[in-house]
Amino acid sequence: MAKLTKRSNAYTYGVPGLVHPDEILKSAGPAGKALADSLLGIQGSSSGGASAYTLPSYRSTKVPGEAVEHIVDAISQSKKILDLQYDWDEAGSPGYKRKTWERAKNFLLENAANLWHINETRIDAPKILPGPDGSIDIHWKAKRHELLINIPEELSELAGYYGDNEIGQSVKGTLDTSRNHSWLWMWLIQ
Amino acid sequence: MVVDVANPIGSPWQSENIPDIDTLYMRVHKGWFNEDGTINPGVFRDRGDGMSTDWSKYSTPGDTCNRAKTPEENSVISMNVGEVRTIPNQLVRHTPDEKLNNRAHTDVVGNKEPKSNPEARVRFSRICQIVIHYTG
Repeated sequence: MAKLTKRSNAYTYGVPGLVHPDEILKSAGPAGKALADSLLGIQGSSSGGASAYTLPSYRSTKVPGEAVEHIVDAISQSKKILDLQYDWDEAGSPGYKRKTWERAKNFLLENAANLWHINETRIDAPKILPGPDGSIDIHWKAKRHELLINIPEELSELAGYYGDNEIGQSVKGTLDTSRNHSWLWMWLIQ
Repeated sequence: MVVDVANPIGSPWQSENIPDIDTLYMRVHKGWFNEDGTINPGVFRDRGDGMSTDWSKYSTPGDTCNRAKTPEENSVISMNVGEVRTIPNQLVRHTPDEKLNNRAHTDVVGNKEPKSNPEARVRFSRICQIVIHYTG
């Protein structure tokens, strides 16, 4: 796993801690800014709305763009999931809700930033995929390990995950995507 | 030789035991393929009573493909029955479908719920092989 060097032009948002996903996007170069702009006026604010899913209170930190730009690229590519309409697979699969996708987006950005903050490490970009029943999958698959995280359509439900690696270690369970789960990402890169 | 008189619901086809050595075929719509050609594990989900497949005893991959609404937009994957049975809590149940005139129909029954059991989907994706690629 690549370990990045701190850059002098890292974007600074004040004291260390969690950074808001929208701010992470803006720090991630042109692709991130474009994605942030495309979301303006559509999502309102990531923490707003009447959903049961509540984002954490944000503080600020340094997040170099290169720590998250590859994640932002994956998120940008995954936006086409929102174009899928009912029965897109000829088997009755539903379309996907913007709030489900935003939950996946925020989860990825927050944890990528947290992982950088903890360990100055960046994780490979996952595939962000249409999942069953309106859910969205976040999938890392490499020679040595595989991790699948499922973001349910229903915002009040916990996400499910399963991962294993070449030496037979496995992890599975459910998680609250509004909390820091850097431990799971650390497991993936160990 | 299978005798159909034992079928309790009047179907002309009796449910049979499927040997481990046999194969299941399953359609995968092109929408479930990733850009790199790999299969999205999301395709492994229950619809109705289970995950719908066809038993190789009564179906070819081509037969399975041709049962799609738009065959050219579907691939067919194969899975060894014995390997399917190694996935925790998954049962292979021959469920011939008279209504659709499909004697091969087989449900893979067991928890594949996206949130509670992503493990099953990971494991299904590891044991499948593409035998027909979509063309449309």
